[in-house]
Amino acid sequence: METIKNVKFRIKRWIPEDGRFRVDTFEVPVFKGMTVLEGLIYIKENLDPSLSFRRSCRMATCGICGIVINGKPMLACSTQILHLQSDTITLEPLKNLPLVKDLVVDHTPFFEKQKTIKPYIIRKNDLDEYWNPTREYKQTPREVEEYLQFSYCLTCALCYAACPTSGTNKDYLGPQALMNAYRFIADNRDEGLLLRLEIVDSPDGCWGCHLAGSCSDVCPKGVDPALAIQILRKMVVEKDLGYLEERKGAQLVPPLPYVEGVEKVEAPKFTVRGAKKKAEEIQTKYLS
Amino acid sequence: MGFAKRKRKYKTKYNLAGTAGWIGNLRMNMERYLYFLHRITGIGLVFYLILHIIITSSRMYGESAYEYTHSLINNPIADFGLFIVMAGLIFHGVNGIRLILNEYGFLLGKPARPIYPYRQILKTRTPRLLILSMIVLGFILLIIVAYELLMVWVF
Ligand code: HEM
Ligand code: SF4
Ligand code: SF4
Repeated sequence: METIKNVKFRIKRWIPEDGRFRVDTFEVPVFKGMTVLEGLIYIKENLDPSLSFRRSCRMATCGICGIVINGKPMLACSTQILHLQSDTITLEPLKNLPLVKDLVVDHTPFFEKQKTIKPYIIRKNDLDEYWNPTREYKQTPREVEEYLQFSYCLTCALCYAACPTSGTNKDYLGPQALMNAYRFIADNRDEGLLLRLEIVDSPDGCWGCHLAGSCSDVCPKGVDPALAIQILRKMVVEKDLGYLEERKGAQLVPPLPYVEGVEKVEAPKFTVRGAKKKAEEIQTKYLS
Repeated sequence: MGFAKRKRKYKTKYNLAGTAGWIGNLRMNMERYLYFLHRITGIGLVFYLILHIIITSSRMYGESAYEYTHSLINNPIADFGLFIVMAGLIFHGVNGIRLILNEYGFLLGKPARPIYPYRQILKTRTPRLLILSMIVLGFILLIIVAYELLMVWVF
């Protein structure tokens, strides 16, 4: 492909052996449409094979190639070099997470925080149906839209890296986890409203947000965590004032009429070994 | 023998942005700067409050001590300082009203169907109009304060 210009990549690399950063500069020939991720792959293939970075899908779906590009957290795969309109671009590992090597960070604390808000549908009553599903729960297109926007999250941690509260408070749940709490609260199949509001009602939860809005600004999927957090905050106040009650989760759709000659299809089995046991364990642990 | 594994120690670090991360990046959104200014003015106001208490508490040492400290700050430069403090207070106040409204979910809007290019609620009309009206309100208050302070020295 035709090279349009050469762009300097200034990469702030974490050197795990020395425990410090080192800045390396590479010159990359850029063609039209070339992404920052392709630039990094070019460097690894041609200039420095020791450069470490993460990527998997290279199409803004897996959410692992997040890095700080010219000071702003972005996905390397969906950022075109020419769109940055500069001859030198600076790359850094994502902020607010432990460093591993070069541009690679450890997302574990981020995922652990998402776990604390119980990111799954909670049912209180029809547990038999929950574990051995026979039919779907009722959900209108309108009800899907209540949470659809928030279910687009890639867990890329860009919002977490951009948030000024996460930058000073290691225990802050962060935009993604709080947004995810709202995603399940807004789902009409869920019955975990009060449980989740209790979890987020803390200075490390929704009260840690100061509406800087940077999380929504950097989100590549338009998830808008800032919006979700403010709604969450309103709900916590409503709960404390006593006029928010646990909603009854959606009911099952009526059974399909029997049709001659059509066989009943079995519900899919758990595909990961031990997953069913683990899931039941979690359910009994948290719901009893 | 001779192939003893070299002991490697890999160091890691929690790469927190820290207080330097309050300000963000020039390519970031407007609300991030309002957030930063709100914080700085809030901290500045606390310092002013301490100074204010020190100055007025000189009354404890008699009327002449009180009059003496007041003669120290009775000049245009101190009043200009007061104007800066008032500007900070006005910003903090009007922006505080905006934050109180938006942070409890008022004048913000509702989640929407995610269609590309994605919408960010803070960049939609109502929150931006709220910021604009706060700027207008802030300027009106600022002009009143400037007028009052100028009255002392000009007329
Ligand atoms: C004019 C009336 C005032 C209003 C409406 C107001 C409003 C607010 C609000 C809503 C916040 C929370 C902001 C956030 O969520 O990030 C806040 C924070 C703060 N305020 Fe005020 N405030 C006022 C006056 C003052 C005064 C007089 C002082 C100082 C003595 C002050 C000091 C602070 C400080 C230090 C913070 C913390 C800053 C931060 O966390 O970013 N405020 N104010
Ligand atoms: S809106 Fe709240 S959660 Fe989002 S970046 Fe700002 S402080 Fe963090
Ligand atoms: S909310 Fe957006 S920025 Fe945050 S993890 Fe999800 S997709 Fe990434």
